[in-house]
Amino acid sequence: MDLAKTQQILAQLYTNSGWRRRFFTAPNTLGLSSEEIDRLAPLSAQQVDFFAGSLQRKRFNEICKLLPLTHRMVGKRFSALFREYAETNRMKKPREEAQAFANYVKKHGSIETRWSVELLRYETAWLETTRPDCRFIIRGFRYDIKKLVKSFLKKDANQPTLQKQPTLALWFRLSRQGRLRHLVLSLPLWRG
Amino acid sequence: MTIPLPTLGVGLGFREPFLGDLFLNRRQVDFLEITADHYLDAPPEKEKELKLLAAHFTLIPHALNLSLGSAEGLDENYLRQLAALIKRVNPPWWSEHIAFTRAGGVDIGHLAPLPRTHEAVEVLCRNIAAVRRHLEIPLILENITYVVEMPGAEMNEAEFLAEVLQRADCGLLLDVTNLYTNSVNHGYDPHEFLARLPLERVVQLHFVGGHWHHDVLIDSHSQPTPPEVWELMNEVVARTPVKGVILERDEGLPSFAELAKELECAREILRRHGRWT
Repeated sequence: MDLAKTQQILAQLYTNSGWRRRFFTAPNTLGLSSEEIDRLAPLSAQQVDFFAGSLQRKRFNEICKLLPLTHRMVGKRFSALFREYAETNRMKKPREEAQAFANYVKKHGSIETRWSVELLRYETAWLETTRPDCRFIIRGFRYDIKKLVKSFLKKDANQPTLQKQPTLALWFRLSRQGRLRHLVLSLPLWRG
Repeated sequence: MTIPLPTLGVGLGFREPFLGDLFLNRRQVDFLEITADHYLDAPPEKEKELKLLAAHFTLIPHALNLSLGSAEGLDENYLRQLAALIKRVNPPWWSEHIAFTRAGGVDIGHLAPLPRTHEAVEVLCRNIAAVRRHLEIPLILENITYVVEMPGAEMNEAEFLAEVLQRADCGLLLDVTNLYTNSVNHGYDPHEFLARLPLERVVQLHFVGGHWHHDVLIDSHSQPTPPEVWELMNEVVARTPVKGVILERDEGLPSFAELAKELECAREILRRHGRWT
């Protein structure tokens, strides 16, 4: 077996938990030749699990850094959601991964309140601004998003102060290399 | 490596939280190592940061994801971006790891060890030759930590490292913490390991401390440097004219004063052996 094939198998072992389980219990079901199985049979399942676990933790820590609001909002379920997500989603570059995970949280994270969805959208808009070609982003919100974020960060995360007030958030650069500017514009209080 | 390299002293692996303190403590940091990947495909703020750092420090780019050990070859797009960055920074040398990080379309997300075989040496040499077609600035190679022991080894770790350096004609970025970590986790004597290395190829050192997790020492870059690592650094510096030493702290960041203390300890080791004035 050549190195390229060995590395392909190792990459699966390190990153795909289902594949890893089968490799150490029923390798014949993976479509590998008997030579490939024999060559890698001396691998220690314990060592491979340990390494795979450290990869997953590294990936998770990166996500926590990039999505601090979402992490706080989802709370204890955040790590469980990430484990589910990582089962079926391959590793991506950090920004793309955070974006993809935010979408996953939106879809599968039982995010029911409107303000939670708004926080998630606000945070992912910030993520988009780190794209090198990003010049302009605009997002509309039902709440005063600036106040919502402040209150969410200060008080009990489950009970932020909500003020319905149609709000536009803008992120822009005046030139390609220009400084990122951020404006939040709220319309007069909505009494409806 | 026949190109004479400058002696840079003792520096820090740059991380964003250090930015303010770096300029307040400019004299305590002789040079910086930057993580090259943080400046590839990056927003303008990172470009500005790079310019600011380059205006005040010698910068050494340290790449993470070139995957020099990939038998499938290199990612040309990544290599082009990396080469452009390194040319722009124009450092005396730059570094990557003896590892692979991707295979079969899968990004592993971290440095994975290579089987210690002649085929792996060939692959590394082939990929390094490809890199040199894009970049003439000297590349030095770093030893990694590993948990998974690869089957089918044709040589021991020190022999593999020596063979790669010799065949690829590269300098060594000897991570003394990685050496210590592997020696603990895989039960060998790090001093004997050093005796088998071509120490004349050592250009730069990395040092930091890690933490224990289930009886395994983890290279987490999260703790102060332990005495055993200082001892190894002293041994290496005594035996070879190291050009630069970098403290690589990533997690559990202490006050800058704590980091500066560690830098001064390293500088004292260089002075003790006449490698720095």
